[in-house]
Amino acid sequence: MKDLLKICRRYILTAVFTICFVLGVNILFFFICLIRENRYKAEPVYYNWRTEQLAQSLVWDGEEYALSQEAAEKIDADYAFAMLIDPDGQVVWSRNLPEEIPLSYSLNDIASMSRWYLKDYPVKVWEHSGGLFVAAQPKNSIAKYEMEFRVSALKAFPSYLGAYLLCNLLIVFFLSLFFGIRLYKSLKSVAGGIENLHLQRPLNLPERGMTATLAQKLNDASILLFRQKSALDKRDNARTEWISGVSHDIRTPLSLIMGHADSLEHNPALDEEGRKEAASIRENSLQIRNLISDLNLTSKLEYDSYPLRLASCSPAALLRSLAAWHMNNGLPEHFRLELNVSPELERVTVLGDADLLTRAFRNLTSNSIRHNPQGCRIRIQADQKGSMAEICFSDTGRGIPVPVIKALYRPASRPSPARREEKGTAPEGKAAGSPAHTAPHIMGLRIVKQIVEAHHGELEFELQKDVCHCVTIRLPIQEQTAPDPEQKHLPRRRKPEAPQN
Amino acid sequence: MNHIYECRILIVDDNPQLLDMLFSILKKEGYQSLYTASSCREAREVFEGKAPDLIILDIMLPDGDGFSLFQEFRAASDIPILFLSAKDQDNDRLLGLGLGADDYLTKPFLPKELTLRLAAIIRRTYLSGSRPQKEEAGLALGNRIVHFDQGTVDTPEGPLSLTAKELLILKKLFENQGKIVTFDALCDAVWGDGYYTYENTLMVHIRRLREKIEEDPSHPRFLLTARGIGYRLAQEEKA
Repeated sequence: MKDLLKICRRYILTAVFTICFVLGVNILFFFICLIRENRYKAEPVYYNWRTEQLAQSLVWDGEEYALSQEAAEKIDADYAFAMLIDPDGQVVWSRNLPEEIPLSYSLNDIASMSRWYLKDYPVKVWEHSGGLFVAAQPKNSIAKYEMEFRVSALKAFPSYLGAYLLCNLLIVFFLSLFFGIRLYKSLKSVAGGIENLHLQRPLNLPERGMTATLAQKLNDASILLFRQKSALDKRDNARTEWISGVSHDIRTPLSLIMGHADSLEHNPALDEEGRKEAASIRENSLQIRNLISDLNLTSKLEYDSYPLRLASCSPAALLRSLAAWHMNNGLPEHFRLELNVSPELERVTVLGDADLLTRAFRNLTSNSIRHNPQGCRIRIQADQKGSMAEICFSDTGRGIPVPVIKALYRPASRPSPARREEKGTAPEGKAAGSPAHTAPHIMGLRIVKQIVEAHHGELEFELQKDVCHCVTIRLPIQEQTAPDPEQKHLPRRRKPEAPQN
Repeated sequence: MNHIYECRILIVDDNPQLLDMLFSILKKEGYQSLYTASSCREAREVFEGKAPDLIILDIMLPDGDGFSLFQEFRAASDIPILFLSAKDQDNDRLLGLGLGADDYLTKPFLPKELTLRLAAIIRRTYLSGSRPQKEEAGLALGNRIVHFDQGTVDTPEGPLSLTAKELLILKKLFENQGKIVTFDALCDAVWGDGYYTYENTLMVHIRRLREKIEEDPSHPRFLLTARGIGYRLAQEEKA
């Protein structure tokens, strides 16, 4: 609506400007012509005055009429002829009189000539003491028109002027509105098309009216974008499928390696050294297994081909089950895991994929455990901050070095040699620096980042002297579905009843 | 069947090496009757000829897919089937489990994972009496014995009855004995899905439960608190 007003205003302004401009130019042109004409040619403005002058230059000297020298020259130069008709209708004086011009005139002739032409000569008459002075200009030099106005109309003109102007303004306004609406409509569809371009779907804008070419161009552009997107999608899919295919093919041989290594590890015929080696093979195969599944997940998340199973989940419950998982799966003694959930967070839910969120949380806690073999305290603090659930993972271990965080925020591309080096500097467990062992580190964090992003959340690394000891995940809270536990009427999630005394 | 190792197992996988390895893992574990098949055709033959008690089934087979084979077998018999596949996509896993498979294990796997899951399936299917028998025998907690079937606790002072909710909580903890069960899981078990975790209400039930099963409720020995996370039923003590 605002746009429509703008367009109409512009239309009206343009119309008024055009009218004024054209009128101005015309008036100017008219005056220029007038001035030029007057200066060099017949000087029509002074026509009557000149006829009067000429008439006065003709005087009776007692015997005959005599014309002054100056007037005679004027008549010879600018006029066809001049004559004087006495009250009886007889020509008593003339100069340059052509033969076709009669020498006597009736009242009818005089009346006709004084207003129009005499034998096609445009004539002017002036009262003279001796009768009627007639001055004729050459044929086809002057056009004569008669103009008459009713006096009442002339008198009413000023009062009509307002109405005329009003009518004109209304016409201009309605025309502007009409054209404005038309333009607005066609522009609107084009604007809608531009807004929809980012959806990368082929547009089908109507290609007619004043925006036909524009609409056509937009349609073409959208098809081009769509094709590009399809090509990109195809490539991304191919990559994801390739990774998935390769990891699939690795799984069977890896099963054999793990199975045989496990069997060797428990083979009493083998000496201790051999069993240790077998155990190492098994452990590293497990690493490869985790790597493969991480690689698969990260590539799927990267190209949005991971179907999120979204449901309302309670971050508090997820964190508790994570803590329980760690403790149930034998958290080494030199580690301490503390979980603090604020009462406010107990009541909120987030819309998310519980498995993925758990995975993100676990990647962070597992990183703390893996990279601090000497043990540390891991603290998970969960609060509600405005419309976000804020979960802060911190530990007293060696922390995440800045290069790792930088590598994480580098645009996803082929790992550069520099990046590999950075990964190598990451603090590692027993196999620090070995490529197989460094990869899960960055990949684990990358997966955390991807999962948080897939949930429209925020990930923050708090730095203290070049290392990060505190990673904060913020997830948007779902509209409060779990009300205050003290309330009686609970629409969805209800308060469990306390035992009766 | 008196023992899990009497279970006759058919292993279907197209990779002969893996088949060998699976065979030897299970053999070493103690299973007596093992059959192998490397294609759908062979699997059908064994299925009809030997009538196995359990099948370990791969999904990608040279002459068909495991899912269809599964449906074929399921139509003929109710024996437990475990998928062992390199397909790790959630969709495949969900499809397998959705069809009614008893378990789905992705490759690569640790032999222990497989044997534990197998044992669990066999116990569940063929020796289902074993766990309840244990339950029926009662849960000994120090000088007290919980009878789940009757919902009572034998104490030196005489029997005490447990409320329905106390019984549910105790059962849940007993099922996961030795492991922490979160408040959420306990609330879920007692009140069902849809209740948000309300620690305080649960705490009241736990306190009453402790009064019944602990000798000294203020210093519990069996029903332990994992602060901020949940509760744990300590491993059974040999009475």
